[in-house]
Amino acid sequence: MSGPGKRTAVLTVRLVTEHPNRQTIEAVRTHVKDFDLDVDASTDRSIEIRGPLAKLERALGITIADKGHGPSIVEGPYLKLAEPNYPVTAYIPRKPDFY
Amino acid sequence: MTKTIVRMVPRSTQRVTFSDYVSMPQERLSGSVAPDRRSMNKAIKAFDDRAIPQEASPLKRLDVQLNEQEMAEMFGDVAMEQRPTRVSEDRSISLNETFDRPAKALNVPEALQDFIAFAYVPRPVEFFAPLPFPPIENIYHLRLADVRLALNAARCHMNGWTGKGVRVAMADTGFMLHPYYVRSGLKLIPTSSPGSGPADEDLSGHGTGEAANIFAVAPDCTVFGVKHGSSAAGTLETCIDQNPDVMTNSWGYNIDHMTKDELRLDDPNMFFEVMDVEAVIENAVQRDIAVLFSAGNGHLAFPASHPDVISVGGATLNEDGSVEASNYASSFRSQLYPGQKIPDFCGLVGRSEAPPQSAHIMLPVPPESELDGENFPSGRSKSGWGIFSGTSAACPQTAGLVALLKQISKGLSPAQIRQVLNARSVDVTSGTTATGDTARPGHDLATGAGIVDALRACGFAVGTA
Repeated sequence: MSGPGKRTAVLTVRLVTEHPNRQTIEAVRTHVKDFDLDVDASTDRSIEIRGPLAKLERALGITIADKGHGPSIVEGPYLKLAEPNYPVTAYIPRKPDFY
Repeated sequence: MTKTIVRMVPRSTQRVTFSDYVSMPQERLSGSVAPDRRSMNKAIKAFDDRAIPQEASPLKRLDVQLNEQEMAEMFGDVAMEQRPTRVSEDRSISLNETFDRPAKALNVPEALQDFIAFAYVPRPVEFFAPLPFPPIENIYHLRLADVRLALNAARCHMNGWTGKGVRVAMADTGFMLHPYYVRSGLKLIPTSSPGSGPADEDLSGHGTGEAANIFAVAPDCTVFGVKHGSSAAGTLETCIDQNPDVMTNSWGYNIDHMTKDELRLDDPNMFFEVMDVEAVIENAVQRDIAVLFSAGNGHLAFPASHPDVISVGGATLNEDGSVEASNYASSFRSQLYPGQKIPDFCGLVGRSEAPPQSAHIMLPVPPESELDGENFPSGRSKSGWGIFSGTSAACPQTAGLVALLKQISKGLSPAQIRQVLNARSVDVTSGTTATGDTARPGHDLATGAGIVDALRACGFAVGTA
């Protein structure tokens, strides 16, 4: 049984293409299949991947660190996808304030 | 195969029979129902031997899971019947609409009678629902009917401008189908977004409460209550998927105190999120969806400052009927989008006192949510109502007004809607906002064009339709 100290934080990373590009999104989806990560949602320009930090870093070629604003992507993504693909940016979504 | 959970009650040390329970003095009763440990152990072993899944409760009852065949073997030919869980649609809340129960009492088989006293199928509990009517609290506040009057929407309704046929999407913390909505016949549709969990679960009460502001102005519109999920952009995309005419958002990020270049250096992760949310908003506006955001409660809020967004600030309706800029609401010049002034105009927001904070409108919330009983001088809780506001209230009020305009003239673009409301709001000439701007005669930074007025705006729209 896992105790409270052993709980693994699950993060969401949202990847976005510069322009709508279903081919790239599908390539990302295929790529992360091998890493046993959850795909939360996707459109023609975005896809959300959810999983433990270390696994996300490995799968997406990103480095996650907290530099005072909460968990952030400080390097990457470096994805080896089949060409041709448009650039993909990635970020960890923040919870907004409700007014 | 469906399994039925049967609760087995082991025999007590006193070996009381079921009929003994009826005649036994109260003082003996509590001791008599404590099961004998040996009976409990025998029961556990009996079901272990039959490889039947079981779970012991702290009260030494045994819940066993039986499939249809096991039910028949143990209790004979017991017909199960489906019963509704709820007695009254708007007086209780339950996790399931129906439950299965045996048509007659379960007879414990002879082989188990030595250690099992009786058995039954537990009925799912009902949670008692809040009242559809707000409680009386001894503090100055507005009821939803007052909001309708204050924003001059009542006479719009008499003219048939009620938001009928207009679709509004609201992104927030969740949307419980509160009895207030059910009994009023209001069309609120809880909608999940990626990673949101159940849309009708609202632990905060914010979404459930603030949505009532839309209906105060536009009672016949359809509201898709989209629960915030794993990302703001994904949530907004879900809103767009509902094919709305209006999107209302009572949330944001307190980041508009630096330029985009500064944000990129300070917090690149947030910079990418801003770019992503921008793209989704621009997509919505290109589809002629009016996108509204709260200006913030002293925050410098993005996306309220986005040029395509209609931003809504706050004005307070005082007890004497006067209106002033709310000292709880934001007003600011955007750094992210130089030249942008926030807000465009205002809805109703309370004042910041210490305490209560912005106690202005009685709103329905899930019982035991964070906002249940908010600002109640009586200290009453679990009523399913709270008194609160903020620009979170002003924005959906204004979205309701936009729904009236869209009913009158479906073809109004977001830019035209902004023009109509700018031209027809009522000037607010006094009061200072949370961010220090003072309202003066004419258009000002504190309240923009003033407080929105439904009748004036609809009259203008009819004239141009």
